[in-house]
Amino acid sequence: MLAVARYKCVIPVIEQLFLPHTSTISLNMITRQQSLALVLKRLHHLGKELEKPELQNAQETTRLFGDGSHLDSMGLVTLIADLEEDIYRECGARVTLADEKAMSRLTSPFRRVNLLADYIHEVVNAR
Amino acid sequence: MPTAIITGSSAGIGKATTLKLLNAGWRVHGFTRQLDGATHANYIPHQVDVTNESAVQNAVAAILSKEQSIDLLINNAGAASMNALLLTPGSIAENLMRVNYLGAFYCIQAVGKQMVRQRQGRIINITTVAVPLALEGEAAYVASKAALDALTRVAAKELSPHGIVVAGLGFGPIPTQLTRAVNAAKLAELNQLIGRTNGTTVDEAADFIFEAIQQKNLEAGSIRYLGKI
Ligand SMILES: NC(=O)c1ccc[n+]([C@@H]2O[C@H](COP(=O)([O-])OP(=O)(O)OC[C@H]3O[C@@H](n4cnc5c(N)ncnc54)[C@H](OP(=O)(O)O)[C@@H]3O)[C@@H](O)[C@H]2O)c1
Repeated sequence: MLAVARYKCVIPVIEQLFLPHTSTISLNMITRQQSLALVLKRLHHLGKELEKPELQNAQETTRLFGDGSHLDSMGLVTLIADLEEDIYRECGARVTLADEKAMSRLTSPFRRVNLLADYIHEVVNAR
Repeated sequence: MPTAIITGSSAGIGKATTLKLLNAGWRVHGFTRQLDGATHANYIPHQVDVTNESAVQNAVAAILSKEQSIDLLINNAGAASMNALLLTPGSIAENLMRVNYLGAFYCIQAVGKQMVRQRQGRIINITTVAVPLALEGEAAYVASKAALDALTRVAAKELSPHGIVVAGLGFGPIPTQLTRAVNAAKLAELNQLIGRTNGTTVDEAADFIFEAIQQKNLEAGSIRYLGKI
């Protein structure tokens, strides 16, 4: 078996950041700034979990996936799964970030923080 | 209370497994096309055709608005067709691929993301001895279950670093709706071949699944059979 539970050490305390699980979540739009804040907050937790300070202190220009990036595919899966839940808790939208649109883009939205924030902003508001 | 999603929970192996889990104190969400199955306070049926990706996603989202976690997914919903390869209509082959492989794929994607968030979970895919035996007369079924087995192995590798164990459990013939049209002599011959001369009941199959669920060291990517293969 591979490195089971490499991610187990620090479960992100998302409940402290957003609404409690059972709250009624209303459908909201999201600003580009909020979208960026979601990505940075989530990267902060993931960086802590993976012991990667580059992610913990990520900025708009931080590379996520691809050449010279800080996430392997497992890290990217974790980031996307966690972010989809964060988006739901923040604005009531169940979105799939890794959809065909994202995959067919010339520049992947998963390459850099700013591109991911742009993409979340676009996907959530296009509902 | 541990929570499971079982597809194909209204009949046969899925229903028997659902009852075992309910009796052991689990809450079970069942996915079937017809709302049916156990009558139990902790059984929650959902009308979901697993071949419909958005129906699967919506049902999982609805479950997650009520549940804190999903501990177990059993991809059991299945269809079969026994037919000579050259006489199998393409539409049947396509349908088997959709139910047996794509249905499980959609469920793993939808539930797997939640399990990644939890950093734990267990996924069991129900398969058949017909794959390793390369049974003739079942080409479309065998191919669809072989696709499922391949998915089991790859999913196990990709998901085990997230604390998720994916494994397959396979059976020989079991008397259910699925096998009702199959010639009894052929079933007996197959049972003989896998060392289960008395055949296998749905209850024995459910026990086999239940034991695997409880097993602490269930090996990720393993495909185990009830019978000699
Ligand atoms: N019986 C055997 O000999 C045998 C041997 C080896 C492996 N298996 C495998 O064991 C699994 C269960 O088989 P079984 O014999 O218990 O079958 P079964 O008695 O025919 O029951 C099939 C179950 O799957 C559900 N289902 C079928 N298509 C579905 C769909 N598209 N979406 C959602 N639910 C669906 C059915 O409910 P609805 O019709 O309401 O949807 C039903 O609850 C299958 O994967 C099968 O391949 C069976």
